[in-house]
Amino acid sequence: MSGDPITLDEWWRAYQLYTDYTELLDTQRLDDWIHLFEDDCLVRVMSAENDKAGLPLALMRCEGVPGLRDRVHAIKEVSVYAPRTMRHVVSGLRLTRQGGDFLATASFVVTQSLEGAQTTVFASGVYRDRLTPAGDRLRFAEKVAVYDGDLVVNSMVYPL
Amino acid sequence: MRLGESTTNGHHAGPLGHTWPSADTSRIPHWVYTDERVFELEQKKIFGGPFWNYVALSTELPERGDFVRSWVGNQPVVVARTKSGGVSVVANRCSHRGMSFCMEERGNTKTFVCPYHQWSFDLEGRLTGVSFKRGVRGNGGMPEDFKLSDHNLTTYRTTERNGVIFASAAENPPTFEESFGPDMLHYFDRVFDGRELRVIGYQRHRIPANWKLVFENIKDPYHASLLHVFLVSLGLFRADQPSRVVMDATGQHAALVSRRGQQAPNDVTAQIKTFDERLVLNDSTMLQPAKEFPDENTVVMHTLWPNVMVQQQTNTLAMRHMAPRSAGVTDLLWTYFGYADDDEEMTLRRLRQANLQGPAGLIGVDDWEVLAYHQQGLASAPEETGVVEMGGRGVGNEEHMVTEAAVRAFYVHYREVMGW
Repeated sequence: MSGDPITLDEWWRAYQLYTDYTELLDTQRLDDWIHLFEDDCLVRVMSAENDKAGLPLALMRCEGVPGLRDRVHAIKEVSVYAPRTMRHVVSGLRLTRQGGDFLATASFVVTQSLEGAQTTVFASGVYRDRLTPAGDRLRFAEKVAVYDGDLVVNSMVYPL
Repeated sequence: MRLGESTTNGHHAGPLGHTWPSADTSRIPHWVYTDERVFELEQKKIFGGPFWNYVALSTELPERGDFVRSWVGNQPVVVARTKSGGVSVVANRCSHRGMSFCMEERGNTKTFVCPYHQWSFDLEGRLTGVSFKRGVRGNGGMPEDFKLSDHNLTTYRTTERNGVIFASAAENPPTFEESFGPDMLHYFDRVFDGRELRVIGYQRHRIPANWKLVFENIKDPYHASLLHVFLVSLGLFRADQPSRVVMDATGQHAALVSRRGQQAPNDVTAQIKTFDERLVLNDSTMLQPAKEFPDENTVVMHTLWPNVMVQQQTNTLAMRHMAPRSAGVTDLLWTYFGYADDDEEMTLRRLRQANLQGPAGLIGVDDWEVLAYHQQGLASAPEETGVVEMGGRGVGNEEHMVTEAAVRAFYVHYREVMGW
């Protein structure tokens, strides 16, 4: 029932999804990371500036698992960039029901550490996601990472 | 003077005690990218000189009183739609104590009011009111001879062509048309053909590199055919495809023009397979092109001196506006747009193809990462020089992209303006 309160078990399954998401992304196990998404998902990284103004342009836009595969392939095999470690910290996960799915919001902070350099805050923002049950787990049907600061630090190699 | 000849002798010191290391521009000294004094001089002579700086698109200011913050070089400005429907560009710097009074990125207002001491200005920058001008109950106030009209905001000359707004700090800059010449106006009017534009979003990033490196990146097709595996493998921009490097008579502006080989609109997948089987897009919708310009060119990268690049890569259209912050730091501000009469399908196409460029671009990332490390190398040896001889030492138009001619031509103009 859409009006039913979120159970601890449901919240826990969502929390596990976010834990898998950040761990697989931060350890650069990107082929496994793709398994957290529905086949027809829409994944976007957007500036708060565009989001607030209702402008549709994203910084990264992956349509479905094929789109995610192209992005992952570029990261792993094609793009030229200095090696780096990213670290996601996710907090304040809140769920609401939408039909059989869940709408999830959470805050994130992402740090970036280039080799031989200091750790810097790369981005902060909010996830506005739609999670859908897949067996006894949840997967992302839609993921929007809205980042706060207008100016990206040079280049964004990994998704937020 | 013909292009390629320098008025300065390479062996006499010019401004700041610097000497250009060669008579022609096949050598570029590293100090042009690293010396903060050079950066300051560029602000005066180039961004503050008799040239037209891009500041905004007209469609960003639809209503009277609309304003948007922007940059002319490292100078913060505000661009506004005035009461008469015209456009004004004023320095975002109060004439009282110098505060950047405009604290919002965009909005709508009748007057600019500096929050510090409430000096107010009309949208053309005229000082219209000063709080406590006559004092408070006989105390204080401005001197008798204080005149509002002596304290207007610094203003810029403005010009607009087909929906694009430019500003100049100079009193009497040449007209926009004189500045750009017929060949460059041809490419400008190709994208800005008078149709109403519609912004689809912004991207902004801070690149740890000198602004000229950002500019040169788009004047140098030689790198594009090597660095960008994505571009090459997918056949979007390759050395074996029909292409041109076109400049104006002075070399300050340039256009890189290219065509996909064997173009088959609406069927990009087949092309990808033909070009390189190692790299195939899983999501082929990302790069499905639609022909929308009268010619057959699929890429036109247009660098307009001194501060903007107009990008047409397939169906992505964007202004890349440079706001240089210091010798080693440049903010690059992207405004992606389409046309007001785009249908949903075309807008979606532009949004998908935007994956290629920008701060997170499948191609873009290569550039920003290289530029950061380029700047680091330059800073480690400012006295050394770079070699720019691909395609010879000339500065004329070329009918191929295996050339650095547009970089050399840029520095012919640069040396002239800067005095080296």
